[in-house]
Amino acid sequence: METNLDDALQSITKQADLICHGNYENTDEIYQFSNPEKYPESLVNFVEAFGFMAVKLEAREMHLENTIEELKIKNVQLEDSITRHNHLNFVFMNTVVLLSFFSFVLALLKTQSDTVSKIATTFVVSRVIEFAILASSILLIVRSKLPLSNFGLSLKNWPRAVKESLYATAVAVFCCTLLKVLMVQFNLSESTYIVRFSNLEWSFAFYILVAPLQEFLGRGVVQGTLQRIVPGKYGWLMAILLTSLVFGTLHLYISTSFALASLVGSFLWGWLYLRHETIVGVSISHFIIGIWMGVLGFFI
Amino acid sequence: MNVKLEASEEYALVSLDGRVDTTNANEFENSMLKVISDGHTKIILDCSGLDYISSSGLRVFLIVQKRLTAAKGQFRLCGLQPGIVEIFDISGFTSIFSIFPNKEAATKP
Repeated sequence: METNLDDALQSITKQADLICHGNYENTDEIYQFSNPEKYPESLVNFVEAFGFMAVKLEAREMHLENTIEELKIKNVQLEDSITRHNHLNFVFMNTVVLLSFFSFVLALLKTQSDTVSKIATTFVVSRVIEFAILASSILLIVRSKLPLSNFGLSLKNWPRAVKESLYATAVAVFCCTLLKVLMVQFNLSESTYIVRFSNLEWSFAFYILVAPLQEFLGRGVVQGTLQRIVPGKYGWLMAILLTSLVFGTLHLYISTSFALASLVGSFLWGWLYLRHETIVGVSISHFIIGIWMGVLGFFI
Repeated sequence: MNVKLEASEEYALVSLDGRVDTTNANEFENSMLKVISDGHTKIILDCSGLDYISSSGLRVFLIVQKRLTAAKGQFRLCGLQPGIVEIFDISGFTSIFSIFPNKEAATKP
């Protein structure tokens, strides 16, 4: 019996040492001494108490490991949330700067009497602002480490996106033309023509660059970021609405009716972007509708 | 101790009856490991017939839980008697195992 007790104590001491080093693999070895048919009751009780303690320790360690894993997942989610928050900050700050700068420039332009000079200044200022925001957007994309596709720079499903955009554009062009016909018919328009291709002055040549640029900034950066960060089932709708409100406001310097038209156009492009998340289709649509608005004389 | 297996496409239901102690803990461990090696990753252990469990039996629960976690599976326990629940509370098992009041609750996705 003494030999058995020695064996048991040696085995338990060895296992205690292993457990201290985080090794539970061979804990089963001690349970041979908890057989009441072979060993005295006091030894059986001692081994059972030790075994229970070892199991409790192992369970606690397992619980800690699970908690660490959960915390790691939460940490990833938190980092993702911080990234989204930073994107929101970026979009918010850029929007405030853009709107403020535009408002100041327009206030200054009021003092100018020369219409040609006003248009030229507005055109130059608009392009300067767009390129400044383009530069900071590129910085945002690089720092975010998100794929370019998250900002609409993707060719995924582009044929379908272009096809859908062309159908939607055809409907929009028809509606704009019909509106102009009605305005001329009921003397609601300052101009008496329906279409005039000579309206397409030199500044429209830039439109082939401006339309994709505005779509990248508006849809790709602003709407795309809002889609990712606005929570809830209808977050996508809020993203389109907010982007369109900003987009419409930025066109108020031309005229109220033009801003309203931009707002409506932005809803359309926002919806198209939501479907395919590429700026290819919406840029083509923006270009065609913008040019056609010029031909109809809505820019003048 | 008696271990009975009822396997379906969604899960393996193992019913454990009687006592699990030093004398049969190995047998219980082998039965559970066989269920896992047969490809079941969602195991429900019905303990409504379990009267007593020793520390060696508790260890089998830990081993099964570890294996199934590694296999991204699920290990659910149900029908624990008050005496077994008390042991689980003291040993800290209630915080690491998914415990359900009965089979019906445990089988829900």
